[in-house]
Amino acid sequence: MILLSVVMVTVFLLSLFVGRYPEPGLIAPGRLLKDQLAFKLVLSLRLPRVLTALMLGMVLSCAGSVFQMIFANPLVEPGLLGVSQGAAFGAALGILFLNNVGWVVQALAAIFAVLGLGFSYFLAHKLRFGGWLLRLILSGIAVSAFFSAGIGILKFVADPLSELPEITFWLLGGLYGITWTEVRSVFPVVAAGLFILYRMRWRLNVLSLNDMTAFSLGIFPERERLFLLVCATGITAAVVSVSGIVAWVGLIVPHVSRRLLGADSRYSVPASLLLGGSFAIICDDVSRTVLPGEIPIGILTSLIGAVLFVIILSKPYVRLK
Amino acid sequence: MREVILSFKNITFAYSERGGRVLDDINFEITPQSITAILGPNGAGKTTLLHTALGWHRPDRGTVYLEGKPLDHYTRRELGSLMSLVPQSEHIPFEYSILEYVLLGRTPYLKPLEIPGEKDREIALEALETVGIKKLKDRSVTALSGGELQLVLIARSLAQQSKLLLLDEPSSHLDLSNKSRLLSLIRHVVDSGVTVLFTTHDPGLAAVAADKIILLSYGKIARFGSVSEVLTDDYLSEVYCIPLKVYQVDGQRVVLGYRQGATPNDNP
Repeated sequence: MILLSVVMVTVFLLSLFVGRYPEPGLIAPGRLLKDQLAFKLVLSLRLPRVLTALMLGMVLSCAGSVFQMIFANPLVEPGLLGVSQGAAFGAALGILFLNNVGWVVQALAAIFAVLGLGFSYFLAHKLRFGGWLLRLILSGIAVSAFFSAGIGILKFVADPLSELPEITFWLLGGLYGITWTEVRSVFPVVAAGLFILYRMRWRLNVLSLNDMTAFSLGIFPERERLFLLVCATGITAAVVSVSGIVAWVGLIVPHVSRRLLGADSRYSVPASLLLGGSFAIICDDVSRTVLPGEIPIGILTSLIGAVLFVIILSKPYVRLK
Repeated sequence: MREVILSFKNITFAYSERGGRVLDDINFEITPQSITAILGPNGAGKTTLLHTALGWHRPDRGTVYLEGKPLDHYTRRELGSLMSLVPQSEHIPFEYSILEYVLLGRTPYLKPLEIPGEKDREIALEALETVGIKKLKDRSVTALSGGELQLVLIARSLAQQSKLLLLDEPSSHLDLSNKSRLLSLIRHVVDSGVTVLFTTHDPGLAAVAADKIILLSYGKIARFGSVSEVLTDDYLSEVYCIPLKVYQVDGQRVVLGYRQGATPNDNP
């Protein structure tokens, strides 16, 4: 755990010096003191951006862990219950009809993400098939399909020269527009949500058991699940509203954490937070440094994530404990 | 007054309004430090009865009392520290170690934001010691045989330090040696002050393990009493709807069915 913390802090600090100004690669620390522009750039552009990448990675990984534990299913991720597609639909709506104003797009994304969860939850009560968790997952799939059809329609009617690229870029995710304003709007929600999830991590173990067993251990599983679900979805909606859809982090990082530190959420949740934070920062560094233009971060998380995933899962046993 | 730990008063329960009653006017009392078997054929309502005792099913009529107080008067957490359940089987989605898994039994003693401490760990290790698998504590629970998993589940409920232990078909996945291990374990647990209530469809197991037997048939209590009162040819044959005979072998009761065409007077 200490090792992972050190890795994350190092990655964070190094990232402040990585970029394409004054030239691709690292800025010499000495230059930072002399060059006013470089100093300003680090403080007002890179710092908020790296912070957001950190929050993004932590939130998606932690929420991913929570989702996988409370659904007792290692294949789910935080966008599952209509959250990602809802956010995307809201953002596309904002880009298309409300003049692509930054905060409006964000707000709409967040609102529709929460609506996605709400619909899924409501629908799950109406379905007459299978157990509660299965119904919830199926409803999530249905709601996601509904929103992605909506996105299809919006893309279809969007102006192919101006609006369509915006929507596509948003769907691939990116932290290019981040300033202190975004950090300020997202931070309180994220900090509160992560704090609650981190402190309640032992409960995740209990909730990964079937309902009756959890009940016999003295808790009301459905209530606690709903509470954790709302927290995890809330913070996911908050970061996705500024970053766009960032795939795979919420699915892979929890797996890797469990691989490294065991399934017990006392260890796997903090590991998820630290690994997720480092992973997202590194992906964002690559996305803004390698090419003169920006590579959407969603592409990188998928690419790097998938490769790492296969490597780590194909090793017999790697334990850090 | 006679001491009673669990009592059912006029309990009636149905899964849906249109469906038939799964439990129909059930009344019984269980004394502390006893072993009671809920015996009956498949579908008689054994597991439903056990889950009603746990509080998972709310009866449509009647009241379940635990130590003289209706279940509703306890908080969920209090009940968690008074009663524990060993389910028939359990789906385990992640690779917990055995010790981590047994630690889950400490949940009723922890607040929502709390994490088990050193004392909880000691209690969990003690529970593993009792069931005799302490040396396996770091093995993954997903890699266990049916018998070992059963022992882990029992260890988890021992870590719960409850007064009433509910077991659902505890011997269904066990071979003969594990079954006898289970029986001596249950005896040991009862000697340390716990009361045991378990379901089984096997009259032979009820005969060797239990002090008292609740014989269930179509949701009603056909007979409740000591082993010798309940395990008779007539009652068993009636409830299981096939001719059955109880034999005494070395002081133990053994229940056998007949081969098709055989008569009760043939030698088994």
